[in-house]
Amino acid sequence: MSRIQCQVTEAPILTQDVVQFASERLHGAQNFFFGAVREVNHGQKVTAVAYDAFVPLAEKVLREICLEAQTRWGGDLEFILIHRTGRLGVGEISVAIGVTARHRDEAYQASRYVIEELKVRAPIWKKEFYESGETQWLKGHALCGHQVSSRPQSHPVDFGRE
Amino acid sequence: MTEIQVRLFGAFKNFSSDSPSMTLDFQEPKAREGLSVSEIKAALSLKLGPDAQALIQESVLATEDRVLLPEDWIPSGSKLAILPPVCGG
Repeated sequence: MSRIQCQVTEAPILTQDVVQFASERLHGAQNFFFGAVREVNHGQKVTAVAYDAFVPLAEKVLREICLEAQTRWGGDLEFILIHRTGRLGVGEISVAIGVTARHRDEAYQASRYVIEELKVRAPIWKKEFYESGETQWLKGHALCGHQVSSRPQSHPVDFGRE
Repeated sequence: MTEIQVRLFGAFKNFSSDSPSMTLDFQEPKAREGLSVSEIKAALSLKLGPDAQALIQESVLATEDRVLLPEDWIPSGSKLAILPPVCGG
């Protein structure tokens, strides 16, 4: 069974944990992507970023994206995805993606697919804090109800009633 | 009377800094029949004020399991989330 591990967490991302996950599978290609908080965005000096996330749905969407990548590039691909929540300083890692595959081509392509889909589908939001003292929730990509995560399920939907 | 709870995320927190969720009250017969996505969005607009209108329009409602479709019917007592446009990564 190929492993898919997706986590949205307030704990700092440790690169060695991501690398360790990938090294447990003896695949010839291990691809890692780490996204970090940039110092300048659209000309404004950034001092920190805060991520908000709807964690249960975000983890589910990330998993769906990995499953799609497996369908496309091979069921033996393995994934570790970690996304931070909470306040992060400049240079801190906000997202980590590890992909293992038999060959580099699938690993590169699957990793790129995961980050691009994550940005437009995972319910995660970013607020930037600027040197000027201003803050801003960044404009994003509108979700629509017809994405994979919202396709009608064969089982009844749980509306979280108590 | 019944309640629907809606958790607020991202830019919605600008409109309700003291609480991360809103409780919407609905009278009978809605309480019994359930609600549409647009009815819940309209109730949310009333609570959050005119400045939130545009954001509500481009947002979706969701459960922990999935994004709701415009045609979904929501039973009273549900716990939902309103999701503005996303920008993770």
